[in-house]
Amino acid sequence: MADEIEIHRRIIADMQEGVITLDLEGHITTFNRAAGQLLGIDPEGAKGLTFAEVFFAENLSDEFNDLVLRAIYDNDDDEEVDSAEIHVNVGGEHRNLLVSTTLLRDGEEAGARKIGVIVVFSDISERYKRKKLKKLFNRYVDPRIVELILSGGTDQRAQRGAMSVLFCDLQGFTSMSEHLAPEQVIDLVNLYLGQMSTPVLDQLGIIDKYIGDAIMAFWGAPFHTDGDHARRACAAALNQRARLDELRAALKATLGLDDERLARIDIRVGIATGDVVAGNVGTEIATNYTVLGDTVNVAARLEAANKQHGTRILVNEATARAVAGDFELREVDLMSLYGRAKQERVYELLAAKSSS
Amino acid sequence: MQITTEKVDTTLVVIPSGRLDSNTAGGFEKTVTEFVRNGERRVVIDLSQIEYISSAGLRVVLMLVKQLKTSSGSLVLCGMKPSIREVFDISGFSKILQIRGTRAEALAGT
Repeated sequence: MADEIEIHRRIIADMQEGVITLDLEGHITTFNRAAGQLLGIDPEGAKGLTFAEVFFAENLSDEFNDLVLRAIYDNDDDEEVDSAEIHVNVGGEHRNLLVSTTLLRDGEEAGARKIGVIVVFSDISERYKRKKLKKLFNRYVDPRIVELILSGGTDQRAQRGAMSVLFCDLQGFTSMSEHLAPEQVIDLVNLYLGQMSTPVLDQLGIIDKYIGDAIMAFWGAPFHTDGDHARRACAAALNQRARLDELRAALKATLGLDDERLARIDIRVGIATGDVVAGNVGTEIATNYTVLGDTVNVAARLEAANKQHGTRILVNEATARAVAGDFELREVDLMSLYGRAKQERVYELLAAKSSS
Repeated sequence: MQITTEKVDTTLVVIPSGRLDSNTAGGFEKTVTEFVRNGERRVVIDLSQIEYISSAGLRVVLMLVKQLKTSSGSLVLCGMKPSIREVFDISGFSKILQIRGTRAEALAGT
């Protein structure tokens, strides 16, 4: 029996978690090394004193103390463990602790004698920081890219593969914004980006970046493995067009644009399928995970080419070939895209083929 | 939170009611500090109307006992419900504070 107690005592002493126990009169009966380190209190000095003397003398957080009190209040429920994440400030250093407290009884049966309180806690500062960083990051970068970066997946410097890249632009944005107040311009862009990003995300696309009123998105490895990237990009583009009425209604409600202006609200989309290089691009000051290559330029050029052709969605030949079974397309032109010797066929994306 | 007081001879009996937690502790602290500043030296806090006390409430009690000690006064607590008494016991406050069962006992001890 004595040996067994000694074994338990040693296990607790060496535990990574902080462990504190109190008897029914509030004496600190256990205060292991980890508890001392996590709270910045000398364990030898604490033992034998009461909880009140140690924890209310120090400017330790009341959150910690309240959890201990909660274990005492909860004494009706048996085996009830109270847990919470709390902040403590130890010598100017901010820490996040996960603290669990429970009332100890000397048996399992209801009405067993109370013998004290046990407090177990661990440092979750790193986990907490990571969580916070991830949350912040997710607002600016697609969550899947965050996941890839955190898992170390972008450590390989670059990858090459076939992808589909989409550019979406708000027609006449520049001239329209000249007639709007600055806040209205921001509202306009935010409403438009919100409406037009949703179809991309619905098709599991990655929003690469917003460039003013332009949206750049892509589909492909390592985020899509189904080789279905061209079809998804086209589905997203048609869906963006389908949301125009909703966008106009939102602009009317928020900015009070008149019908004449609303009628001029429209989007242009360009999609290109081909080889791209994906990787982290930037300097020590700013880096982002993005896709580069001729295909990206082609997509941007196709978006702009809608102007000359009076079209809304233009796609390159590789996209057209990949989706010919699923979508109605119309050949529009032979286009010479700069930097390319050969002329390329360009297609207008019209609609999804009705499944017959 | 409601705080009522009664004066018995030279002793001030303070009777707070409800919850003494982080929401109410500030107001309670202000009130009792004012009593001490106005010259009260013998104080009894009757906790019979208190349903719940948190760390913030305990800190006020601790602060008050120190204040009274430096001005050679005294603080006695009384009337605790069993659950409140248990909190004072297991947290070790019963060891460093004067606690009596009834108000009469508390008044006899100040």
